[in-house]
Amino acid sequence: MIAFRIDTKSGVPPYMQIVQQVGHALRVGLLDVGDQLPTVKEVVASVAINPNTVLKAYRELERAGFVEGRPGVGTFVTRRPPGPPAGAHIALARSLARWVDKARAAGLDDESIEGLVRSTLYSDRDAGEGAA
Amino acid sequence: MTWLVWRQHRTDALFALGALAVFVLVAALTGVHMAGTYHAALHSCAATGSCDSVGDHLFSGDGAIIDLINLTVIVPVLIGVFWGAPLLAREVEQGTHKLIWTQTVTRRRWLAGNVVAILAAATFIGVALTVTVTWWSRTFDLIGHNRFQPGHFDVQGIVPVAYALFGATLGLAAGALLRRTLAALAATVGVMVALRVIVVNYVRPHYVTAVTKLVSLTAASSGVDGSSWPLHTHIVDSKGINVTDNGNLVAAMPNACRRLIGPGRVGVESCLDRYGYRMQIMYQPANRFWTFQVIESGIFVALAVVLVGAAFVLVQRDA
Amino acid sequence: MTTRVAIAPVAIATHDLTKQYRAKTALSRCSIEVPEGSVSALVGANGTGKTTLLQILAGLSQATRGEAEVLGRAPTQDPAFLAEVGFLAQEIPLYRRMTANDHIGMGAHLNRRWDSAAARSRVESLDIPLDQPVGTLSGGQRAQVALTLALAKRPRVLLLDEPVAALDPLARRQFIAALGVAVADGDLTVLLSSHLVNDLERVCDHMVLLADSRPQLCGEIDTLLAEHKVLIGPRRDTSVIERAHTVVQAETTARQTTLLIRVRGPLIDPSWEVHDVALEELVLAYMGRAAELSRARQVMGAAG
Repeated sequence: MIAFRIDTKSGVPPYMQIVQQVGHALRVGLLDVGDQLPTVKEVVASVAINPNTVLKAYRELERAGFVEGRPGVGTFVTRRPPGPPAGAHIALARSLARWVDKARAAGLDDESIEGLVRSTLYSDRDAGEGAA
Repeated sequence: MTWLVWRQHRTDALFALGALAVFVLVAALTGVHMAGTYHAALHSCAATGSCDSVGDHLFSGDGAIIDLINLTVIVPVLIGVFWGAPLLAREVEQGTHKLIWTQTVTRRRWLAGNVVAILAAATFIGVALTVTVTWWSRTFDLIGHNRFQPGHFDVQGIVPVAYALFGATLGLAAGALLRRTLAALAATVGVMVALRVIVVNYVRPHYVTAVTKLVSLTAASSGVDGSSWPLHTHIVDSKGINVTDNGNLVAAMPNACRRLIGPGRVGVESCLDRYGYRMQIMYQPANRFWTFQVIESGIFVALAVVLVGAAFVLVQRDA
Repeated sequence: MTTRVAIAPVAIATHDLTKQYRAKTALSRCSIEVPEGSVSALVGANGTGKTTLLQILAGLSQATRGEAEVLGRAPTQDPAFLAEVGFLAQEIPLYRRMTANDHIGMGAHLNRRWDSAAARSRVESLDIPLDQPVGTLSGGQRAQVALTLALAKRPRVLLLDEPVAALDPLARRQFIAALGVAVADGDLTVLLSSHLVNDLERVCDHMVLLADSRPQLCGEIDTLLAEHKVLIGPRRDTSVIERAHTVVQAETTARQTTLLIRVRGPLIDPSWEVHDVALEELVLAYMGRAAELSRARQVMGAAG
């Protein structure tokens, strides 16, 4: 079972935060097919948000085909998002950690590292789109 | 409703019951004692033939208990102040009216439950007090005291019950109107005292037309029973004109009589009597006591009904 | 004023609701709609009519003009109406010398529908003593007892006046969680007032914004946020934007113009940088606008 964290200052709507956190948990292997998501009441009691928000998030996940609501039982994971298996994330995370260490050693602060990652991502995406 | 009323007021109710029990006990002990003293005095006066004045000095040592009995006249005010005034006002002050008026009970029903309870309590206390005091006072009544005096009339018979009902509803209506306990309390005391003073002095004497009696100025006794309520006594001339009140008795006198006024002179009364002057006495006979009790009770019960009606209208105002 | 598509039936509706005290207008032509099943935030500065509106809806006050409907009924002194509506006043009224247990017993005597068992277990689960006079409890505990009483009635509409104002952050969080669980249990619409929007952002999905005794905004929070944008661009004439959209707030510096607008159509001008708007920003913008309009009206009134 996973626990959610809602940050009202982030600007991301709370229901979207739940969708993203479920997606992340699926990608990194915290959740697998057949696992049950916390019930609406459990989520509401632990993070103090509107139950409709949780319902909206679960509906969104259901529409995307990742989970399935079984009336009177709960919401269960039916499919993992496409992408590499969970192990791939772990390996990539390790090599990213090594790269971050290297960048820090070169004198970059966190802000510069973030900026570098973001610009690399965007230039890469633009290049990809241009190629398509 | 009954459950809530009892839960909220059980402490007050038990306290009142305790105070009442102490009072009844004190009255019972002293009442028995006074009856014994009176009967003993009757025995001894019969021997000397002085029974006409037996009551004059009989209970002069019992001032404290007589004061206590007379003080029961303020009990209706206390009921109004401690039970009537806070009934609605304290709820509003503490905000609990918003709790209670949003349960599945209409304000009317909530008020009805409370009104029934407070009227029952007031009736109970009024009856208990008046039964005790009326019983206690029977020795005084035997002596032939004037039972119309405020110290007697107001604490005996049925009016104490009517006053208690009026006091309770006056407090209730004041609380419903002012919605502040302290203000309602002051209004209750003020209105009650003012109304009682007005009734005793200006209204009560006129419930029934007073009996008028003309007595010779030379008569040894007025012939009016000492337990009656004398309202007015003055001298009238032969034409029936009141010559006392406008202060011109001496000026209006025949010269023959005026000469008899002065130190060491006598006979002015018999002189005036010859000229047709008479003593005019207006009074309420003792046997009208219960008529007066019923009339006065009727007035205060009617006022209580009006006040309860007012409270039911006022409770509908915005919370 | 809102283009919300009604997906749920309306639980609370008012039309031109006005409350006039002797010299003061507490509520002026207030028309709102709250859909069934929503948790609606009644937001506004102090003294803008939030309490007046809630008390009229709870049947505690009478409107001077206009209509109000709660679950299709006008608020009245009718047991059928009172049974459906729970109300918690700002001062969290309880009988200080009575215990939580006494209060629960009282509710059982005063209501047709009353869940004593659920109320007791709720109080116990919060570690609040059942047999201690409520006057000895903390503010947070009293608020929880009062909410328990309001919920034990099993109302279909719950009206809460500044319920978290007096609570510390932990008690506030617990209260809001409790409220959310009650809504998750089904068939409950909540309208709760607050002068702070942060407390309510988590739990509310609908908002009514009162300013200057009038409703300024009423709708689903997500929809309202999507309908509003912040535009940042070089300083210039904004009349084109004003014709196409509603400008809620405009700020100009020597070089820059920042607009908060309600979007009424496509945004075509590429020279504006478009940002999403946060709820608090939106609320403050509307409050500021209402204050300005009110000042302008007063000036006009004084001039006329």
